[in-house]
Amino acid sequence: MKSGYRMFIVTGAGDFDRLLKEIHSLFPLQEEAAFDIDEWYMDTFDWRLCSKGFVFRKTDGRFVLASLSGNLQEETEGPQKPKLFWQDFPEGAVRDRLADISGVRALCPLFRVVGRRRHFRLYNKDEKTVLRLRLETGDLYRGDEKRGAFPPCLHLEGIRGYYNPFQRLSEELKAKGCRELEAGETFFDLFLRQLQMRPDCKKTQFFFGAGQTTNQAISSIGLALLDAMQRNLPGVIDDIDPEFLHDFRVSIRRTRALLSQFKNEIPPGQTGIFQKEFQWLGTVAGPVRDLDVCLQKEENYRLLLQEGLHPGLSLLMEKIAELRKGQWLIMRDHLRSSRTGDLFANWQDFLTSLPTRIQTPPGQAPCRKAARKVVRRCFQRLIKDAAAVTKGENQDISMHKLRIQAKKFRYMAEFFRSFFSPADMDILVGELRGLQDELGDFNDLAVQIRRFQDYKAALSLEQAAGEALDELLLRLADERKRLLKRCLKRCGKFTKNDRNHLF
Amino acid sequence: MDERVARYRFRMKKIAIYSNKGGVGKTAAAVNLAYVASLSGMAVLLCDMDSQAAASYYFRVRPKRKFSDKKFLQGDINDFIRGTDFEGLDLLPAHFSFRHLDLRLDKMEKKKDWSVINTVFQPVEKEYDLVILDCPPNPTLLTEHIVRAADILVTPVIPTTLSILALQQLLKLSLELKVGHNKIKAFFSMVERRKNLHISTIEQYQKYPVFMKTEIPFLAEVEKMGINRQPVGAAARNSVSALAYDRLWREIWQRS
Repeated sequence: MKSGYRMFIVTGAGDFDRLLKEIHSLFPLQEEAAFDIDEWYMDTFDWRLCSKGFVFRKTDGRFVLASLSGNLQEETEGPQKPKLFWQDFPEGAVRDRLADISGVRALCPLFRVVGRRRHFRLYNKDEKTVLRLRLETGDLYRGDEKRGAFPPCLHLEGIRGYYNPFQRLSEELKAKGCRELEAGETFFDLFLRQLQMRPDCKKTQFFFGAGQTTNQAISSIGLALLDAMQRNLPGVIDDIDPEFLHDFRVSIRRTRALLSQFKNEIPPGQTGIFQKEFQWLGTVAGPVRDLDVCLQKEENYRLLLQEGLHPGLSLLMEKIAELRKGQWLIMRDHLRSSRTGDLFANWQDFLTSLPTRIQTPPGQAPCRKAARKVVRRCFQRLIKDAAAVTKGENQDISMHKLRIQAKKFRYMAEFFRSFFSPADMDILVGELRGLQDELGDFNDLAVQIRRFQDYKAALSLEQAAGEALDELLLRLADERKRLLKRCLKRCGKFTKNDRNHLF
Repeated sequence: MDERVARYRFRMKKIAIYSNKGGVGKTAAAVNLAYVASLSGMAVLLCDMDSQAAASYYFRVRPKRKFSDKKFLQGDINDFIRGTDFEGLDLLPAHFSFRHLDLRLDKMEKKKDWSVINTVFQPVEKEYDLVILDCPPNPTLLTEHIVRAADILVTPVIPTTLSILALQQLLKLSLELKVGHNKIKAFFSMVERRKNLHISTIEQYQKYPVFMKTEIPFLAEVEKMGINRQPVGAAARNSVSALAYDRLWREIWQRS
């Protein structure tokens, strides 16, 4: 079995035969096999596998999930489709792990490696293999476009009980100028570097200095959110997976919150137009998102219903999927329209020129004061709204208000985190996240009940589907009561601590 | 650093290949069964306990000088295991000092503590799914330890009178040691179907549940292992003997 592994980058313009001859002068060397490489590397749009330390590749019709550290490697069969979900793979270790990591996200091709892999063995006087070598050379492609050769790699695989040859050859390779991969560096990093790709798996964080103006801060936040919208838009239009639409909508919401909280700092007459347009964009994307949530909850619904109603539920879900298809076409047309294009272009122009605008004195003032004021105001409203919920005044409305306010506060706290104590902010945002999860679940449920009531009136459902829907509405109503109790408990807990000193 | 490679969820199993008669094909069985088991995806350690070191020779592995019977019995084996040329198959080579294993065992304070063999392999139980012991012939104290510690005892039997006698002695020993007979899996080895004695012996004894249905024929390719120095399946994957060992392994595994 393997005992030790090292990887070297071969330098020196590809004179591998000379290098092999030099190795051969140290140890008897034999080429055992050579294969063509044709591998597609895949990940989700937000690099979920990479961020968890995995790579996923397709090679010769097989799919391999491997850890970047090289300790784990699982293989499976799978379909030949451009985008894949974990459900597309047969039951087994790969499917289970993909389900955990990728969730609802599709696995899309990142790049392709085409080349040659040669296997060698080094042996001793008994002709016993004491070390294995693997030389990999080839080119990298993004789509059909060739992006040049990747650095030739020499992999050393030690064999248990034969440590000396492994150590000696490693030293020799270093002496010959081959570069060993640094600790934590992987072959995947080499490929990405060559392709000038950067795993974008972290949420954008903003850092503002004391001297930055409000306009500068609004500009950089707005541009980052616009970039997120534009990056997600193709995935929404091509309907790759539901997370593109979700992230797209989150960026819209964050933009709207920014506009509303800084309406006094932004030049008058401008905020109204953008507010209106982004509100329209959010409305355009809303119905499909609601239907996505319904479809994603199918397994939860199944658990709520007796087995006899399961076929009816399947029929209902088919109807909802059809409905979603129609809504998605409407949304796609809106997103492709000149109205959306103009909105993005105008918003970009506006944000780009904002830091230099001098006709709005509040916007030219240092951001720190305004940002702290906004965050404090949002927090005070949040506490007020949470208290209203616990008092039990018109709970549906007050719960909705609280959810919106919690989002606004969270967005502002995240944008301007650098003006506060990061440790305090992290604790607060962590607690808030718990509350938001409860409120989000409650709201999702309320929306689902409302939508199901609408579908019941609008869709011509077969009897079995209708019965399943009636039962589901009853179960969801029970679930809603249960969630309401949990939300109230969480609100009480959240309002208990006095945190005004943080702002 | 060595990777942990045990892949199966069951605890590491120990399979001893034993017969008190020499020349019945113990080492050939140990080498080939270990190879076939590793092909099925198991992490296998073949332990050459016979000081003749034939199994080690077949895999071209020499023991480290510092290895000894003392270190073996103390369970100090980790640094002396060596990788073979085959994926998933490692070897603990025999050392010439293993000829004194019995004496060493006899001198041990806890010589009747039957956990000695289990203790030897404890340090590697998370690394391997299977340990195959290629045992020396002759019934000795070491044999008693192995019979008790092994999960499965595989014994090759040439279809001749003396070999059957050796099996009967093993069954008697297992009775004495209060070890269940179902642990013993016998198979006919070096079978020559042209010999009437072989045919009649097989007909007479194969009905007993201790015998596997698979026979290993007497073939030159098994003898050539000494020249090729690799398992028969590695030299010729679809040869008659390679397929026979493959069938034998599957039968042993299914019936264990």
